[in-house]
Amino acid sequence: MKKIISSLLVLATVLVALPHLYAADEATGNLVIHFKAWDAESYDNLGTHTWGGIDPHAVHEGVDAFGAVFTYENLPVVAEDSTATFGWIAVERPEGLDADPNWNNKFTGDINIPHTVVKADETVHIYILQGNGNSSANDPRYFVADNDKFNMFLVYFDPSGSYEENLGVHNWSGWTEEASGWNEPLKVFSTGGNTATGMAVKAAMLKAAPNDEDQAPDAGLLIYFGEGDNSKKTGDVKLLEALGEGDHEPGAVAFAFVYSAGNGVTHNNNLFYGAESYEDFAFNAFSFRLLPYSVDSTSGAADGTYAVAANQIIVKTSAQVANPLKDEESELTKEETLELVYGWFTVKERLTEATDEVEATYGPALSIERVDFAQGNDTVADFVVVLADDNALDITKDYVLFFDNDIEQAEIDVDLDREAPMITFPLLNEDRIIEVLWGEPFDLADFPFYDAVDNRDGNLTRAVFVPKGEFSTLDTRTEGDYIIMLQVSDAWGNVTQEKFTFRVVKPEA
Amino acid sequence: MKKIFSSLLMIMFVLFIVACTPKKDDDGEDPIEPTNNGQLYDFSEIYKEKETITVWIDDQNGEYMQAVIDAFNQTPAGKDIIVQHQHMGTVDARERLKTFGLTGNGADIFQFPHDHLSSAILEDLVYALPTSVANRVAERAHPLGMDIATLLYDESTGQFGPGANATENVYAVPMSLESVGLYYNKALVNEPAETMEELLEEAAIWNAALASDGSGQTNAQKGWYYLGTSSHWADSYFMQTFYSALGFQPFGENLDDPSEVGFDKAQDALAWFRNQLKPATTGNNNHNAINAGANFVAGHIPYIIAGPWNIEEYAGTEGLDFGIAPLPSIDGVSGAPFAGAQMAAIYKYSEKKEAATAFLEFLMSDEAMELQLKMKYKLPALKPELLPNIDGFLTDPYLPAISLQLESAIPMPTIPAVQYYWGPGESMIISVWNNPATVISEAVAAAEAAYRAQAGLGGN
Repeated sequence: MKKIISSLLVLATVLVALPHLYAADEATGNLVIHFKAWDAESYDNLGTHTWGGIDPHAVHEGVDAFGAVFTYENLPVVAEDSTATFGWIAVERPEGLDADPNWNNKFTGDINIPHTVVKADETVHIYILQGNGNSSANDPRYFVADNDKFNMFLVYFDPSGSYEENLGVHNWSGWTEEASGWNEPLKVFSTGGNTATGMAVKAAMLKAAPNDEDQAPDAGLLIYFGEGDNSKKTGDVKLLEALGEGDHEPGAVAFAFVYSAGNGVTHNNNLFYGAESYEDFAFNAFSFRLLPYSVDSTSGAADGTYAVAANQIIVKTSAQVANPLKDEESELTKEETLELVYGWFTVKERLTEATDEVEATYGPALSIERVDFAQGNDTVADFVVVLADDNALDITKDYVLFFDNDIEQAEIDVDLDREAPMITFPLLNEDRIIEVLWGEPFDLADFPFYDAVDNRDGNLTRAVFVPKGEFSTLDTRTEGDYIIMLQVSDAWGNVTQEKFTFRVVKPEA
Repeated sequence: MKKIFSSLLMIMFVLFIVACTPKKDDDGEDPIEPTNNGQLYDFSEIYKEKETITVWIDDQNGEYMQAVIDAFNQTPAGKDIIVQHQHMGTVDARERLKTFGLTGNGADIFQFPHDHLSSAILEDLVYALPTSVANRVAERAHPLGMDIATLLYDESTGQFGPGANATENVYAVPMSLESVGLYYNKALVNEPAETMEELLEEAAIWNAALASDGSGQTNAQKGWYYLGTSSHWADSYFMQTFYSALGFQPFGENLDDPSEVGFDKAQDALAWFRNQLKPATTGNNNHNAINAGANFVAGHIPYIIAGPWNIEEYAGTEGLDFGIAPLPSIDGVSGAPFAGAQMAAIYKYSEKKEAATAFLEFLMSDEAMELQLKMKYKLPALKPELLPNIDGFLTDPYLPAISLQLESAIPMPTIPAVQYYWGPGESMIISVWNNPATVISEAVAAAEAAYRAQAGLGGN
């Protein structure tokens, strides 16, 4: 009897176990998301809001040299053509998962990571930067390291925010994808994140296959925008230096942080290797400054600090400053607080330039009528300094704007619009004389073509007009010369007038 | 003597005749003075000084706006106005206007979605359109758009809704409208369901059936539930169609009473979510467990509740032939989803309001709406009877269906308190959907309390 029972038990065990033995294991893999916040304090209570197949974290699992770490284990491997995505948002969760996240303290937009990044029996590492935008086709905002390659996570920031359209890298010696030639940048960058003020931070994950010894190749690159040496943003950026000393296996991720120090740069003072060097990079890249005047290469929109009119200076700071109007502990009245803000700004004419021995000299401070800013916001980075009427800026002089709110101090030369627009007549001869027939109606098609262009405002052709008066009329009833004057102004108020002549002539008999 | 006198007379006569004879040219023809048809021209009347307005519209590459501006400049009202377009995100527009508006360095016209209107008014950014302009806008705008653009506001107190000094004004021009609908895969659905009862019955069969991939799993096990949502099942914007069919609409009858968030009236809907909708859409899973968007694009599921913003992706998916049907009724009651709008308004302190008004009104013209449809693929916010005038509307495979759905839609609430509705509303559904132990009345009470606390309304 005992034998029978034992046999039955064995049989039952086999029957139960067999399907499991022969069932195909569902392939799974792990993800590790590394998140970089610009300010290390942001990692306190930093969790995630997620969807699409991964669970939220009440808080990260730790902070390494790069940033906070979030692990997702045993995720299913999907077909290569799957379009499914994991949704991921870094957000403060002061009360853990028991309550809603603090959506006022969100560190990313919606990051959509395809399920296809999961590899069977692998742990895939993904890098994400703080920012305010969602994933898009052009800017996925996540960067996947390849476990079979040596990786370099390259972060590039231009404090002026004016990234060149053709910005990229020239690279060599082992990268899986290399530029086709000099002055043909490989456009590796996408917007990886944004600073606290919303400025774009560019990033790229470059990969290099191991050499024959299974070691990292001596691959290098430089950042530039394809207009020769003067468009260089760095000297050589080397994979081996970014990896640092020691042995490295394929799958290793090196870090290089670069901020723009202008063009024609080869010194590499603006390059920082390794995740540990981030603080040095951040100090230089994100330190408080008054941003200089710049023009967006795509839209033509002006940005930065500049005088937009003779009595108005637009000021943009590199970082947000606290708005004292929103300081609940302040005992100042609104008027007193506004006066306080006005006091942050001083505008002076520079009388003499500084030399190695002598400091610059300045005239008295110009009187400021008011300073406009977003009074309802907690922090601000944009201001319009409105000068008193009798303190208009003179485009023949130089001015410096000083900022001092007792926390941050900075100064900048005020960019003035010193050039008036130009009106040109592309089809007229030098004498600018157009003959028209006496005694005949004038054909408006014979009015000369003209263009108007301004160094700041761009094409002003539609703004050109003929002022009424001495130089506005033509009488084809009477022979003679009729001078016509065209006029246009730029936003500053610089006026340009150009004349040409209609010569009314009788047809020869 | 007589002879001498006669001779003198003869000579004088000859001289007289010679003197009176017209002079002849060398070729023997008479000279003719040309006719003078000349005129006096004052070019200052032709090449006038123009007014320049700045327009902040969300149009990244600017091609759509350039086409609109070119068309505007061809009109009598627009020929002497220079329109300067700058791409600006809707949030950025408000932020930058606060700083740059007063000095004239901002926009004269700016764009924002429905839920920004009350905030923009509170921030003193929006110009209330004069009655004559508002009347002209009302003649063309879709009633839902007009509802969204019209607010009762007391400027002295900064309060919306009825009040002693409250006045009703039209603050913006609706440019486009949007609403969710029932998107279906034509390869999997012959006739879209008209009722949720019908749809849920079909869902039970579909979910239990084996999936088509030969995996041996059911559709439900694959996560290919019959009906999905392109958001998640706790998104009150998407759930409004079910809420309304089951007797709940926030903020009272006119959607403008912040003291009447009304979560208490959502109890029947919440019970239906838990008992009817959840089993058919997520099974035992959480509200956000299913990525229905990917499933719909892959052709795995028949239905998804989605919006016009999804069309570009769906239409661009090879092999996916989809249609849009009205949202199904529940127990004979049609659902009423929220309708949202993109709007354009004049900056309150613009010094060029006349020119700005001309352009604002042009944005509602057939010509501008046609450009918006063709270049931005947006449903023009025009009265339904005017839509056939927009070239491309009737032949579009999807927009007429969205327009039809709008007939049963209700305008998105625009009062500031709406910002405090979504969070508590989402938490309420999540707790009911994800946790079978949640007592619905307690979830409702918690949502009500959370809303009132966030909105600064104090206790009940």
